[in-house]
Amino acid sequence: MDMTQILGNAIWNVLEYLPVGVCITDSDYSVHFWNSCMEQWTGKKRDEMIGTDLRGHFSRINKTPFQDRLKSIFTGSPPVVFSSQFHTYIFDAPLADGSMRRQQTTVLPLEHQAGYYAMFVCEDVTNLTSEIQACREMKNTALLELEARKKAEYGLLVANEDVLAYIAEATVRLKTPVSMIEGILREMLSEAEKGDCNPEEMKAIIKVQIQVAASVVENLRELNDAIVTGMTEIPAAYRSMNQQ
Amino acid sequence: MLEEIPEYGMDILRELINIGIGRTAGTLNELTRARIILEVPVVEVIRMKELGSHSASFDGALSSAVRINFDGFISGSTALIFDKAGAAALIYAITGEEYDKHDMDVMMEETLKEVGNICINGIMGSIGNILQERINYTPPRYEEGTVHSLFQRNAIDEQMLAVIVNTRFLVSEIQVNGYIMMVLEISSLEKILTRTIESGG
Repeated sequence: MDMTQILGNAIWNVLEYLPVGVCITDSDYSVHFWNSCMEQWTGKKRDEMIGTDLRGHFSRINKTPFQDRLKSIFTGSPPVVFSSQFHTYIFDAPLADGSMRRQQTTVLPLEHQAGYYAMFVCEDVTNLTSEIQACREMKNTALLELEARKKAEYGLLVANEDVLAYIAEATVRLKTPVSMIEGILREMLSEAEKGDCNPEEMKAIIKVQIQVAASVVENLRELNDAIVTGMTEIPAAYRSMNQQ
Repeated sequence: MLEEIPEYGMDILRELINIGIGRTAGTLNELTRARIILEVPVVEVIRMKELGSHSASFDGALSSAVRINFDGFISGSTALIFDKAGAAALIYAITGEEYDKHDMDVMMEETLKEVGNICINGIMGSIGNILQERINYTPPRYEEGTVHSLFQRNAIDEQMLAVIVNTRFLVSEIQVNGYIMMVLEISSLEKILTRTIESGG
């Protein structure tokens, strides 16, 4: 029977110009309908296809996973889906670079007087697949970067904690000598005011206090460096202080 | 379990489902590189109004489903349903890709659609073989939502029955629990049981 009689002119036209590949066969896989999209994708013209065995043109249809499931279509069973992830493609439809279009194909039973035809509706999911794969790669890269960043941030946090601990410790350590210098200078001033100071003894005390002050200045310099440069390592002065 | 369905009716139903599941496992093993074992520990029939309190509703969590509606000699809807994490885990296990615990993307949805299609066709095929009557089916569709909302969209009556098949997929040392749910009118279920008895099933 002519497919236009079965489908009706309007539906025939719709199927003919749909942006998906449509092919209709009987249970012997003899082709009754081959739309323009199929022509364009496969390079096989309608005249070449109509009345011939689909399996002779596209050998994948002969394979067991397809055959077993397709058989049920001719008894009016539910439609069958062939995803691109499991099958990649059914119809050889080469792209300009020689690779095959990835396809998702749905096969529907189409009732007629003597039984059922199979209508293959084939979608090209090549671009969609590429985009999803690119998206997956981007997601994986982003996740890896996020993980690396988290590690770096944790490392920085630990380092900052070290520096903060150093600053806290250094502040305490610096307070002691500065207080000592202050106390000694007040004592010296008090003795000078009373007029009972020994110049030699005062000189000796001042020398010692200059050394203490120099040490304080050195500690302050390292502390300043640690803050200004965002140092992530414990300054040497702190280390030596700890060792002491 | 519904009182209206006698034990022998449930036995018939279990038998039909087991035949369908056996076919499904065979097809899935042929299709994929993974060895897939399918177990059906429980088959139940409940009323749709009881679905909310059944474990097949995943406590109202989002689920991933592949569904085929049908009408004709019998009418209703059959779906393979997983919680979203389970669906993703199953697809990763079947395709051998690394499981990164992320959402389903369109490619995975298409893959699940084929897996669901095979499962549903296995069961509907075994029922169809018994009935030998005209039934029209929609192409399989992938849907997300709560189990309740998935079926509500079909304006399914709360008095309708749900045949719930707890289905366990064992793939590459992982186990994923899902449900095959067939929602249909009591009269449709009666037709299935009557025809099976008539055919000596």
